[in-house]
Amino acid sequence: MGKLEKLTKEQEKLMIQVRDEWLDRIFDCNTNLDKDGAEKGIEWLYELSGLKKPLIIQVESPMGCQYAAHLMKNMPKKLDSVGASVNASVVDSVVDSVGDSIRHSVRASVRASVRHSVVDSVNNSVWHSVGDSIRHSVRHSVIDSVRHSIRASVSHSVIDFQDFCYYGSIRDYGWVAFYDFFNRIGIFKNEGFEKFNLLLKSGIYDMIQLDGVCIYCKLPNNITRNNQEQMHNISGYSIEWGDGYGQHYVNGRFLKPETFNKVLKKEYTIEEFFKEDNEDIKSAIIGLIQEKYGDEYLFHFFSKNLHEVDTYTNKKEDKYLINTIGMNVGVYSLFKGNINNVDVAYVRCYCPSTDRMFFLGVENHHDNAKDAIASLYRVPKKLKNHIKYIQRQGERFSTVFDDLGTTMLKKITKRDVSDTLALTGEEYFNKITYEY
Amino acid sequence: METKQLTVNVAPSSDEGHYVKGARKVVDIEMDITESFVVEGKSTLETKNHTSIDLDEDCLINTQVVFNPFSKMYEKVVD
Repeated sequence: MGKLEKLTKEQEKLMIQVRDEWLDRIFDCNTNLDKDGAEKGIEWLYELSGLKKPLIIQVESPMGCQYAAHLMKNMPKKLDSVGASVNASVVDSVVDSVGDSIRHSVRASVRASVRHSVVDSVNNSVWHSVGDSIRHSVRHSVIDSVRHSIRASVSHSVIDFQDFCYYGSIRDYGWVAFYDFFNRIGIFKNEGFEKFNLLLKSGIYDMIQLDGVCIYCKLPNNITRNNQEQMHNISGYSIEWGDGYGQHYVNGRFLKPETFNKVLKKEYTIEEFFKEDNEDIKSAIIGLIQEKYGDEYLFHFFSKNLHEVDTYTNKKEDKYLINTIGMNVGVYSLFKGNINNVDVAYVRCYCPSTDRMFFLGVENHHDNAKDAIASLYRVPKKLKNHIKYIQRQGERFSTVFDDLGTTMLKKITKRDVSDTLALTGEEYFNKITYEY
Repeated sequence: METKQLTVNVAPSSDEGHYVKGARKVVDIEMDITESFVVEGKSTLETKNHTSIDLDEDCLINTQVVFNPFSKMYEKVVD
């Protein structure tokens, strides 16, 4: 039989339906946990990996998973009577074994079946519409951020962070939905895939896989997002589970509860703002203030200590504005002032990709915004006269050099790249092309 | 299609990372102060919160700095 070369209208319709079903599973926030299905799936997962049948513990949230893992690891031996060899030695993670099993026994097998039966163009199209789309919305925008924030908050506590699973969470929605579509149109039959598919559909959010114990949690009760599908809520948690655990996000950026609540109560100070060393978090705080209390409050927040000295607008050619957003691209304002008896200067600028506002520290001697913002770009001294053009993505610069400079670049040393200098505003803006 | 491409994070101190995809070679030169990488070959620079950039020619990637008025020092931008 030949390969599938084109999707029918019905199949195209089904493709969108499959994508939406998987996205709705988490974002509708009304998927009930099928506890029996979840536990059967976990037992199968351990069996497939050659592991003993685990004690299965269900909690409400991913933070609950961390607490449960901590308790299991610190359980006194005398309480070891739960019939599943649970004791203080049961701490080894089995994520590698489980990961290898799913990767080799399930994923590789269905991948081979689909590649054998479907032409690359159809494969690409379904991956783009289903797999990649879900992966972006679920994996990149939700679970990876949640895991990262839990790891950060646990690392400041008495609990040792326990790695979550590689396979067995909503992180798998993208690739599983992709093959779910081909499964539904009869491209392959694979018992392992169907079992793994059912495990995910049972309503599991995430899990910790230990030797002899598996701890999993339910899907969240609530997720709030902005129109760019980033987690976002200026009044409360952006994502929240049944046990009350939640996380605050502003335009996709995590904020600690104490910071979020202080801003909401108008107790957050400019001193705290400038002590924050993460520019993305500072930008999220600005976004929260702006959206919650408006531009006037935002202006007063800064103007108590800062006054505007100069503004420079870099008018770019139209071709450099493609894929940028907002009216503030290329607008830089220099502010100066005094905070805690320290003379300070900041350049206010905007992200061309998202229009988020940033305040970047510059030396106080600057008297114009153009030179001030240029002072934050650095180039190795020996390559300064060979710059062909500069591009910027967030805080990363990519600099292309002329032929001689490129030859020198290939031999550049650690000492060379550390011996840098800044450009003047005129030099910098003559070289900068794309900024995102 | 579900494919894997060699990617290199050229922003190790960034929470989200900035990833060079499709380059022939990526060499880390200095990681502590400037986070400098030499990228050879046509590639793309991708990250979560910004539009992707085409890297059409060999280039140097390094990080923006900011001046901390309280420590009176330049620091690499953290995001």
